[in-house]
Amino acid sequence: MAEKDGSTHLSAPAAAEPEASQQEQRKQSHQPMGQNKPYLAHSKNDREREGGGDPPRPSDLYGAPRGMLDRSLQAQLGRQLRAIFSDVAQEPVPERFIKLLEALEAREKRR
Amino acid sequence: MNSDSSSLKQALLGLIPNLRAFAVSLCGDIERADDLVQETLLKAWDHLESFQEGTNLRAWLFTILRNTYFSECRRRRREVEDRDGSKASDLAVHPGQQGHLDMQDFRRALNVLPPDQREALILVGAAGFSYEEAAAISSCAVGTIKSRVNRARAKLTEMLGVATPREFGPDSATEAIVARTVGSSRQS
Repeated sequence: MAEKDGSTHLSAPAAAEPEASQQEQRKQSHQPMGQNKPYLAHSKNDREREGGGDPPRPSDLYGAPRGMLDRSLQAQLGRQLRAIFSDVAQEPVPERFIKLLEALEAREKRR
Repeated sequence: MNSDSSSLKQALLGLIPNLRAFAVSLCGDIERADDLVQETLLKAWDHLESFQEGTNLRAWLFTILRNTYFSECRRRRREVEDRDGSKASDLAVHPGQQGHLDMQDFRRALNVLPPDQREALILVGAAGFSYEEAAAISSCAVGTIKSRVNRARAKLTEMLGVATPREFGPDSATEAIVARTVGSSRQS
């Protein structure tokens, strides 16, 4: 708020973002929604390729081989899975378990 | 005797954080997870004679915990399936999250996986067990663990990634635009 410069810088990408994502979606649409959007120069090719009816695979959309896309996604999945696990694994042992084990040990001693 | 129970207590204490992490990732709920851990500790303490000295105590405890969890699941299967169904549809109607894997999405997606696939993925991908150890814990073949892990990864990728085929159909694209329009008009 206080930085005038910062706000002008921020407003540009923020305005561009929704446009970009709608563009992604219209590429997939069979309806000619892009008429008033001359920057959709590649939409004709996409529609030709879609002709069969099968939705295009994401790798076609991003121009990256499917394997590569999957590998980076896999790496991210692995990181998040380990993060979920280690978040909890780093927490201290709750009091209830310390008390439980003490009670079990005490029971053992009485035997 | 006393030194035995004292060293067992110490060993169990040291493994509780791991058990809790496993339980939470398995059932997705910290309170239920702690109940599972408690039951596991009680069973372990009472059945110590069935633990083979020199084998992996951590793997043994994980085995008790997952057996407890799965027998509980069988008891409440109907309820669980209902809940999973609603979670799955929640996920399917958020096309705005393409390619964005935030932690909340990830937890939800993990909870939607079939429990056996989720278990295999956690054991191998997070708890650091080998395929062989995971197979022993889940009492199934190594090949079964491998295929569960692969299916779990594929499903997560599909649910969370840009690779969700249904997000690219014309219907969901239209829905997304409608959702966005509705969302932005609400905000303004």
